[in-house]
Amino acid sequence: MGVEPLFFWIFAIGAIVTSLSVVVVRNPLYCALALVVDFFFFAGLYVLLSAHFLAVVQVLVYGGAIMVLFLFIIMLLNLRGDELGQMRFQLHTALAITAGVVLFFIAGGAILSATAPMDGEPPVEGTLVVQDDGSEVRVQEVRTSIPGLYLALDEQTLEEKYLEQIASWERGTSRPSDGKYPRFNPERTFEVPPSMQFDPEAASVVPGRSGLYGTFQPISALLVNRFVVPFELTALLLLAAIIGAVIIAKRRVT
Amino acid sequence: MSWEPTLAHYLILSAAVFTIGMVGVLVRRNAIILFMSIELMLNSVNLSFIAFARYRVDLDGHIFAFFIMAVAAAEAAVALAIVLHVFRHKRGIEVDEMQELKH
Amino acid sequence: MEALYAEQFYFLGLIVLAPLLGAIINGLFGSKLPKRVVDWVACGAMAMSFAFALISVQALINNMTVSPDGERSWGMLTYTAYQWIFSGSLEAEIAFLLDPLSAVMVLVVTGVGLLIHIYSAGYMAEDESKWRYFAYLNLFAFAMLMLVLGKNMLVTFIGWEGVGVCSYLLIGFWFGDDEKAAAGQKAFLVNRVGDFCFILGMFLVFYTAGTWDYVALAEMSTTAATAATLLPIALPAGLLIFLGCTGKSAQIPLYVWLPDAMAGPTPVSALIHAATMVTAGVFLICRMNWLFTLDHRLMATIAIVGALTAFFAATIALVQTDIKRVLAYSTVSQLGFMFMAVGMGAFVAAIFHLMTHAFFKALLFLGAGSVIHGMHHEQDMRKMGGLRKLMPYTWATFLVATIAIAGVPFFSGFFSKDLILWGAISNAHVLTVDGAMGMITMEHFTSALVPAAAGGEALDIGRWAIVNWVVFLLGIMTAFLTAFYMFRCYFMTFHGECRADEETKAHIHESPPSMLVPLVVLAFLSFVGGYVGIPHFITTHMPEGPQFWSLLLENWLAEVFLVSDAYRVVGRFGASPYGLETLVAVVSIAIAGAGIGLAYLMYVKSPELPARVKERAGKLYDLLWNKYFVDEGYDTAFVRSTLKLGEVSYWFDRYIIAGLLVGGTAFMTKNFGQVLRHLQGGNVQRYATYILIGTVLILFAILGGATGS
Repeated sequence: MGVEPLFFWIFAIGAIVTSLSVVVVRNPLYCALALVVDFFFFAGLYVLLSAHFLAVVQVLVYGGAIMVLFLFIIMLLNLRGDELGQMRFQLHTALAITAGVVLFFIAGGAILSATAPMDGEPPVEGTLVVQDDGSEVRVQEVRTSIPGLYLALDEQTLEEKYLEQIASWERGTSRPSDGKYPRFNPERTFEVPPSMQFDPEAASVVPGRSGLYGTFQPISALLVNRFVVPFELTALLLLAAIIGAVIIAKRRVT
Repeated sequence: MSWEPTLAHYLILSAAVFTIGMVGVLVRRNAIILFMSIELMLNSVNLSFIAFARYRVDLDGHIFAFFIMAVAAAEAAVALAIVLHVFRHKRGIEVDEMQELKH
Repeated sequence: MEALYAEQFYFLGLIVLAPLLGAIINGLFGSKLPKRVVDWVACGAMAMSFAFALISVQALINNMTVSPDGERSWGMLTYTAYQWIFSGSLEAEIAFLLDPLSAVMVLVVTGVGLLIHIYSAGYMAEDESKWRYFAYLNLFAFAMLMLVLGKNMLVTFIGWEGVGVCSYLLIGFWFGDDEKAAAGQKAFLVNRVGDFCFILGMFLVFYTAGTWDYVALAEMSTTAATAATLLPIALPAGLLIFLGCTGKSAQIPLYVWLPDAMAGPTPVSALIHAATMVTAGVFLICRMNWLFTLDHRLMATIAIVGALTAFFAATIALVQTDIKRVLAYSTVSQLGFMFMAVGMGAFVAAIFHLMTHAFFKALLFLGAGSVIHGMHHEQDMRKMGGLRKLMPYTWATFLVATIAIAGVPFFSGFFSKDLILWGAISNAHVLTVDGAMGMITMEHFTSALVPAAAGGEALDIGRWAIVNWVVFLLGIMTAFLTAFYMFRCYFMTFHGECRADEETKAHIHESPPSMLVPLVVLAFLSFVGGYVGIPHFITTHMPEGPQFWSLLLENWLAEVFLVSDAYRVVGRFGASPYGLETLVAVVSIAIAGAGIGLAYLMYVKSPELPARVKERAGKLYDLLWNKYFVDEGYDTAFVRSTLKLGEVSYWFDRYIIAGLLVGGTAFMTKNFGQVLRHLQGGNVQRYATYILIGTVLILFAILGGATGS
């Protein structure tokens, strides 16, 4: 049993508590601080999910830029306690909370029924323990009833499968879209960009890491290849947001 | 629920944070906290995207999360500018007092 | 009956189309066209229609076939314009049918119609909205031709309603006058009652037979095997259709609109309310004779209603002083005559009288119109008199028509009226239905019943003879009254001293040629029109060739009225087949002479006599003068009660509908709104909450079944 599950539970409970604080606490300043902590917990969860690049982005963008923006506004408005307004309990508050709880249970039920392990196929043996009718089995992967979706997958198997995928793209026996996007043009072949290819040297730089999944290298390869148009559009969007924010904030109140 | 995290764990966590954020959007009247709640919801969606990506062994989910972060940043910038503007206009940021559109 | 011309005979469509085109041109552009052009368009349309009708009838004549045993048949010409309704078992085509019966009608409608159009050009010369008048008149011709040419009941019904509308429009042509507009409405409303019954009858026929096609229906009802399906509805459907006919053809109980309809221009009275539209009922029953003859009770009802109408209308006409009203009641009376003939199974006689009546009654109306025109819209006969010298052409033609309608020998009315009276006494309702035997078909009748009838063994003849006597006696009395009141009208108008005031007298003038030409043509037709049906006691002595021509109408229509033969009981009174006809003719001549003589006595010889009679029979005179108080009776029974009902309905509407229901709805809505208003407070967060609640409910609905949770 590794240390990862422990971290997961810490991060998960921390994320829920801090989220609740954001919603419940009255003073916006404390809310903002709770939110920062929440973002860090999320970043930790991303690391656990092997999304190293996104974990970094999360800290930089959310914990850095967006939070600074929030705090800046809070300080600019300088809201004091008496300006915060009364905490009023209203009928619709109760309704919203009830509906939210019900929605959570519906979503939970849907998640559990959709991610149930596939019947009839024994899980592959490995490092992960899954409690199934009391007995403990060590497995590397557990398939769900949805094709291509695993319920459990240890990190080593994840890397192996990802490298296998890239290798098959390089060989041309499969494409990134296979089995994923039904409307994808089957005639179109896929050339693996050099940045996506496995580089043992680069891998060795990260201690304890054997592979590529979730690192900057393959994500940037995807961003500048398959997703180049949305990527550029995002740049446009940010530009528009900057101009819009400046115009709105600078407009004189008549 | 096993001790070891599985896909279901992440998804339920995501659902919980999403619900909390949503309730916050619905019940809080302070516009800034409203936007914080929205950020919570966006983050929870990011979490489920990334979890799905990991358990499907591809990176498309990461790309989505990346774009969502970019959009969230843009949205936060514009939204907070609006809050600033509203505050200057009304000397307050209580959303239930912004009812001009009903007239 | 079988269509000999399998292919389309397009001229039938053209007959109908020509007046419609005229109506469209005049109706849409007439106000911009010069009056002369309007005249030419309208009359030209009718002339074209008449020409096409002649061509079509000629084609029908050419279509004649002679069977080995010498029976002539003309079959029919058909033209299907298009499939109108095709829905399940309901197939309705705009289809036209020209057989000997509709041929007669088409010629009358287009021929008399053309003459009256020409007359109208003169009569309406000074009217500002002449184009409107001619548009209506052409439209009427179109509808009437639809009616007579229709191959199925639906087309007939379209025409039926169309003529009703045109009649309404033309009665109320001078709608600035409230009384005239009201007369139009009265005509329309009374006709609605009849039309509603007609439509019910139509539905009943369709419900039972599954078709509206006359040819198919006729085949059904004359074949013993299939007639059984029609038999149960013959009485109800026949009665309903007959009620429709009483509306359109002004019979008891729905005749009240026709006298008021005289509010319209006089040529309209001549065309619509004398010559063509009002005969539609007679035509329809003749067209569907195979249906009506299925039930003898139905036929007896028609005969008695017709005879009663004929008699009562004639008595009312005795005392009227408005020249057009006299003619109107005379029309009702003559139509009663036709129904009498129809009811007695003498269909040929009915059509014969329809035709001659169209000639002489149109002539009478046009003559009256000429008089009215000449006297500057004076209609009261008490202010006329002595017009013989002032309006010689009008006088001569009016006299011809009067003689014709009075039943003086050698004029057309004599022949047709005699045929009806003879039918009334000698025909018998023998086509009865025996429940055990099923239907007595015509074949059965000729093979079994005629010998039995000759031997006096058929029970039905004895049982129903009372109908013959009632109808015949009423008919004879009506003939007498007709001769009297028509000559009264004639004498009051054209003889004696002129009773008009000096100013009017100075301006009395003969009408223009466009009005006189139709008068002369119609006078000619009124004279010769009867020679297509010379009495049988004369024709039996003729060689075959002239005999055919002398009985032209009967021979021509024989195949249409196959059933009619069954009604004719030859030798019922004595050995000589046509002895009775001779007797009827003699009686009829005597009666006509008596009527004319009495009129001469009272209105020429001793003009003080009418006043004395009036004093003596004060009550009776009042009764007749007030038309038996029928209008007042209807007023009390229907109009007042409708008004009362209206008051109750008003109360109900005011307090129950408006007060409780509408007001209550508003009250509820308002108060619910008061409650629901809080939902829409303009608070976006609340709206979002409602959206969330809705989403949750939808998710429950979708996932509730899928996950089983």
